[in-house]
Amino acid sequence: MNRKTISDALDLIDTKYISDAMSYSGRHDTSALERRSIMSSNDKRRSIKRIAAAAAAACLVMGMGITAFATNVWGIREMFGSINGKLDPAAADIIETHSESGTEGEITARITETLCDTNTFMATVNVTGGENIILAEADASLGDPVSTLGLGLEGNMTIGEYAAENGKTICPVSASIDCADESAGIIGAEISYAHNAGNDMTLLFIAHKTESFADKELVCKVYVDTLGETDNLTVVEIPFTATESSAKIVGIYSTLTPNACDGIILGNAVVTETALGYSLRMPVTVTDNSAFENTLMECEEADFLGGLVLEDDGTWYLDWTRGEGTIGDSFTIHCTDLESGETICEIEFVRN
Amino acid sequence: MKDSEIVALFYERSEQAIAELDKSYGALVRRILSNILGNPQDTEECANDTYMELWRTIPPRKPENLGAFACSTARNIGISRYRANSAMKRNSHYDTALDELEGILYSQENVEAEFDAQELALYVNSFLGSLTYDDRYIFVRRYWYSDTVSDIAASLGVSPHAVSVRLFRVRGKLKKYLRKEGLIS
Repeated sequence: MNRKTISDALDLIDTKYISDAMSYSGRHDTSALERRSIMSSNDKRRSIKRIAAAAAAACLVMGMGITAFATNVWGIREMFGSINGKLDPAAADIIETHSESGTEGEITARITETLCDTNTFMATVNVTGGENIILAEADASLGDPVSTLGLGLEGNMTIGEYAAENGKTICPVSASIDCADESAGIIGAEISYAHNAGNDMTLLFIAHKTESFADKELVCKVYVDTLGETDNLTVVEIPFTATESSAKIVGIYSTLTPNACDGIILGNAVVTETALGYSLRMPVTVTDNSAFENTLMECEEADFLGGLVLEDDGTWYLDWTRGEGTIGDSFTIHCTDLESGETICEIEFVRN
Repeated sequence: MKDSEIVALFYERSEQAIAELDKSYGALVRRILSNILGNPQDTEECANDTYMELWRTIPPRKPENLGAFACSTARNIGISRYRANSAMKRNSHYDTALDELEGILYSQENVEAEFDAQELALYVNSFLGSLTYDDRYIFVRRYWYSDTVSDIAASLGVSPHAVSVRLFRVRGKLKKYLRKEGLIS
């Protein structure tokens, strides 16, 4: 495959993708949404439409008497499990049930469950609307295939055509978590969606945070937009609090070769553990910006989520969470050149 | 002015169409050309060529998405100019971005098996359809618009490093996808 073939193939990229990328359409000006999935080191944001369609089919079989159950199908266990695999039983034990809700116009949003530790916050939020609306994922557009609505619909029709034919309005849904008077400290978030019906959807909101949620007055904001119309954004606010499970310190780790990788000097790493896995936080001093920006760091012993965070004081921190694996008396950080994909170095950290 | 109104001006053969097109999409057209050509004079000449081409093709064409149509036309004209100018050094953003993709798609084993660009495009489109909006945005801005990592990061409000990491992973996914489909070894 030569360079010209690649360039010519790029010329044939679907117009809708070119059009979609003309400007970034992160729908709402919140740090959580602007940064959604960018900070994730693994792509964990996936639709669970396939399972949603199966659930819809099951509801049809079970009949109307199961409606109340059907709207509760999507708890954290179910949604997290369908995306990431089974939730660790220790994490499932700290799921908190909620009933706080808010209504704005014909949109009602209800927090059903939360799960919170020192670095991660998860919530399932059920959203319902009027009969003439179809709730959709935040990045839905009228030109998308109707199958992307997650309602088990197939065919060549677009979302816009389906909505017009059925007299419905397509309403993309997203959400954010804020604090009443201060920053919630969320540095990255991802949202997954499950449809219970066209106008009934459950969101799983997973955020990576750097501040404690204990004793904080939190607000879940649910944004319901309207495709094809401007200035028709409904925001439902749901005040709530969450119980934060504590973390156990695994250890403070240091390396004998902190500057083995060009462009950065690594500090001591603090590793903690909660029911959601390991967290690792380590200051990174940048000495050569271009080398730093071209370096990917990964841990060999555990698969983490998260990335590098620039704090207000100008210091970069490696901020990893939900680490799966085993970290004992030592661990190794593997540095890769982002352009070539080649290994730059391996840096061993030992518990002090 | 709405796209449909600008297209209507083209159909009326009103020169105002070019002025309105430039107002709506001139900056984006020049940015694409600048990313490919890296030279203000060539960029301006190709921007004018782009408008001439649009004037020539609308009508009979009636693009549903005028912005994307204008950008595609600009990109084609920019790449043609780039290829025609053999003296041009390989140092534009377009080259850098293409180098990244070539790095993962090229291997000695693939030399014998040349693929048609149209066939590859089918797979790339299918791959793009499987990505999240953010990943797709980053991929298209980098490899179609030839934007720099810093510019993409600025548009997202994240660090260039976060974008580089994401691009690295998306390229890896593309390689895995094309390998699974048998296009590369």
